Amino acid sequence: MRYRSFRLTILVAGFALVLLLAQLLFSQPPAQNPGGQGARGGGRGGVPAPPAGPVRRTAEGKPDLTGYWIGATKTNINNGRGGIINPDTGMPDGKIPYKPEWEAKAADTAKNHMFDEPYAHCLPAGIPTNLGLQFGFQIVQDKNTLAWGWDTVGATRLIYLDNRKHVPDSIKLYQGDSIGHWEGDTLVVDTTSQTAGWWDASGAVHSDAVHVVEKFTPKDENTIAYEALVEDPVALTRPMTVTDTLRRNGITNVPLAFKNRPAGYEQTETACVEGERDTALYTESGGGFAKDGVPGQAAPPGAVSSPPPRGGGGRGRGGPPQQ
Amino acid sequence: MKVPVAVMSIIVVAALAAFSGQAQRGQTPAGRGQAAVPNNGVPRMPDGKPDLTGIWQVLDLSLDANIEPHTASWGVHAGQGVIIDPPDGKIPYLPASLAKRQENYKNRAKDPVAHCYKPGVPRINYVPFPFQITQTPAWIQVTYEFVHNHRNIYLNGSTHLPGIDFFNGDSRAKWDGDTLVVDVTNLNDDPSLVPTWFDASGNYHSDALHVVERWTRTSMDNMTYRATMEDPKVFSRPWTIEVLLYRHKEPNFRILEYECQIFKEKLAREGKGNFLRIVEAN
Repeated sequence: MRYRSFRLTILVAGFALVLLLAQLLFSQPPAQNPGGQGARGGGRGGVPAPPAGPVRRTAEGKPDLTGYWIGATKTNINNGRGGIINPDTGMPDGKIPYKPEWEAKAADTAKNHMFDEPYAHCLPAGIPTNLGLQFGFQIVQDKNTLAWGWDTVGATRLIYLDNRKHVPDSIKLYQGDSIGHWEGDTLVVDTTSQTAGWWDASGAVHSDAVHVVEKFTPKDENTIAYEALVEDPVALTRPMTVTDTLRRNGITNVPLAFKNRPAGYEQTETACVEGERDTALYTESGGGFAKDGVPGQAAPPGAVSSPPPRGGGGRGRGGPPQQ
Repeated sequence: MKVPVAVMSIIVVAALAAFSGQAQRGQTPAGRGQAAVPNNGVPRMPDGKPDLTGIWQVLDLSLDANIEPHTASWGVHAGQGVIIDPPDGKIPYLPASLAKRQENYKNRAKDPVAHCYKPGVPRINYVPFPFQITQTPAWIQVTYEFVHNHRNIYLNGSTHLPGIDFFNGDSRAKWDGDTLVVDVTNLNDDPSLVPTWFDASGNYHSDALHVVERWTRTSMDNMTYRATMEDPKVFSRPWTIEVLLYRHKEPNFRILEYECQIFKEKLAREGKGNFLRIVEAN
């Protein structure tokens, strides 16, 4: 089985590379963030964060959210630390107000369909799920747009500020269609057209009827109060409010690779599709391509396939060599 | 002639406002004296630099197939190519490298972009998908519709990251007059990860590739994109492409999503393609 051992070598090498990169980049892991306590609480070795100044502003006088941000990591949004407001107490320790059939669907997903987690397919996680990812995100803001980028999956998001209309609901997007406007210093963002997806990494599924209104209220230059009103009339008995505190990232928990660089922390490229192995390693009964009962064994290799045809193009694109 | 005080004060206020607006916009050397009527309708940022923001796309659909001059073939638009230097419009390969390119062409089903991989620089800018530039004085994010690619272009005087390669490289920029000049290094050539190509015809590079991009907005609706490639392991001399970008001005136009990997997986599930990574697909 020369082929198999070659693939295993690649696999092992791939893991080694990932580990090496992880060690290089994240030898100082981001702070644990229960309840949204983030980078501001002081870095390793007792180095306190510098005191936060006032909210930064753009040339137009609006709050400038440009920079690196991180919220609480919400691996399981239902565990009492996911920031869901409990309507009885007002505390952020609530649970998803699922309809019974969706409660069951979420439980079944967690038990039997983890293969469907968007992350396993290098897909953007959606809104507000993406706010709860462990390595945080960046925002670059100009007068018409907030462009976002995530470390995880290398996802992007564009929030348009130009009073446009939403795209037709028949268009589905993993990140949805986000349109924002300023109400004083609060950025209000309305997101429609999301695909069905997950609210965390533990099977908390939602339908494609989800509608989210987020409010970003900067408190000082390093802190944003975050609130999302999440409606899903298909899956939920009532709308739920999800809260968090977003902290400026990369101040105290600077990964080793960026230490001693005058520019400080930068978010780097994530190659997810390029190194994707989950679909190959999940077994067929779990939804993947690997043979059941053969751990680590991917599906048998087929003949070289033609690439999937791309929009408007045929197969085997490319012109003949001219030289 | 008597002018009512109210009217007079409106005129004065308006004149002052116009003057101060002009003074503000005209603060930088590039914008001085021409702020009120920018050259060729090129808008400017509050800091006086050309405003590159907007949604842009190449109109020449033949480029992603082959950046050299080529006749049409199945599914491929004919094209005159975009190489402006050398003058013959061809990539100046070293002899051994040309043979490798011909080999790549035979195996062009392995085009990394057809397998949903990041296209690399400069190709990311002429794959047939739109992209959006979001611009601040020190930091630009370019957001591409193709598989959520995005690039950070830093204008803060920082240097390239040592020791890490990226599919889309490491981009540090400065302004040369009204042209944004981006120095791109750290471009990936790891055979286990599949190096990027310049197009779907197998035009390729090594890990020694160094790209210098020059972005010049020439009017409200156009931008000239130049890229000079230097790679002494593969090319006998540096070579330059020039691509014309058009601004999307359709009402409500936005960057949507092309999550290519999902389509690839679906085809594999239907037995119509191989979902495995390219290096293993043989």
